[in-house]
Amino acid sequence: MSKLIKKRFDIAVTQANGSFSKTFDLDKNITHVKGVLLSSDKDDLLYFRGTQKIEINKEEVFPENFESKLLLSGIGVAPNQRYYDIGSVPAGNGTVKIEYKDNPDGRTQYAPYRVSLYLLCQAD
Amino acid sequence: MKQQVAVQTLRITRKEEVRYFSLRLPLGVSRIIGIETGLRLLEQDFIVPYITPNNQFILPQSTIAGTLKLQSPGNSNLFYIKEVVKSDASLMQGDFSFTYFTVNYKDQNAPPDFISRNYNAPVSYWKPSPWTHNRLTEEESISFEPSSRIINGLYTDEYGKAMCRDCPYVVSVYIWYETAECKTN
Repeated sequence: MSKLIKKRFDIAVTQANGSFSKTFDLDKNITHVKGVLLSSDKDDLLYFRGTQKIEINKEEVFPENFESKLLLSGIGVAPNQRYYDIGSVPAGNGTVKIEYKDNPDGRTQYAPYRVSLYLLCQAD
Repeated sequence: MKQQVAVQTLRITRKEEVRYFSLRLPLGVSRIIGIETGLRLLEQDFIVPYITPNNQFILPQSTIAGTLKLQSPGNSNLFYIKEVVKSDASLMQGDFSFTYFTVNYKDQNAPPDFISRNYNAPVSYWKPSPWTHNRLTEEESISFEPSSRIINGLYTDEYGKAMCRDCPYVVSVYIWYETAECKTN
């Protein structure tokens, strides 16, 4: 019987205007990825400065320059609706690659921050 | 059917700048299903929404960054027009935890008499921000079958015009489309 599980992966953004690429492995029993959510310990920096590319099983789900603000959910969103629905992407070999880029924005001052990628996964 | 997104970024540097752009969609696009936009400022933002007792219940006007128009060659008309907004100035509307008594008296933009009158008021740092008070971010749904893989766009700057100077920023245009997945037996 399949069940829904949530996975979290972190990226440390240690340099202003830098690119950070990381590849994560999903559990073997995960068959599909159904939702994506981004969060941070400094939400304003992620909201104004972040763009990323996300690949699941070498398939591009979000292209380069896709703004992080479009994958953020505030407290105004019901908890059960916070994941961005990407349909049902097969997990395949289970690799998730994220290329995060920090872009200077006039409304924020850079400080090191953490970006957390949450995935809503379907597992056997 | 499979949904994908194409991104076009435009760097606007001059007042009232007009930018034409073309975006080539991949093969097999059957329908455009949604449009999203984003904006990133390249200099410090001097416009800070300021709530006073007089305008607390009035919907403030959001600052418009520019106008985006999209057209597909072969189709006679524009299929999408949108005013790109810099930031939503109405985030705090309906949020009664945000009052000028508890937040804005420390605002440097507040008038001096306002600060002195409210100096001893309790402090609340709970200030509405887009990353807390935003609704669910979803693309604006449209349904359009392009007759060509090329999408032509026109972006006209309004922000620099309103500020009467060059205000550099980057606009991102996201075009969500549907492709028919190839099935091989």
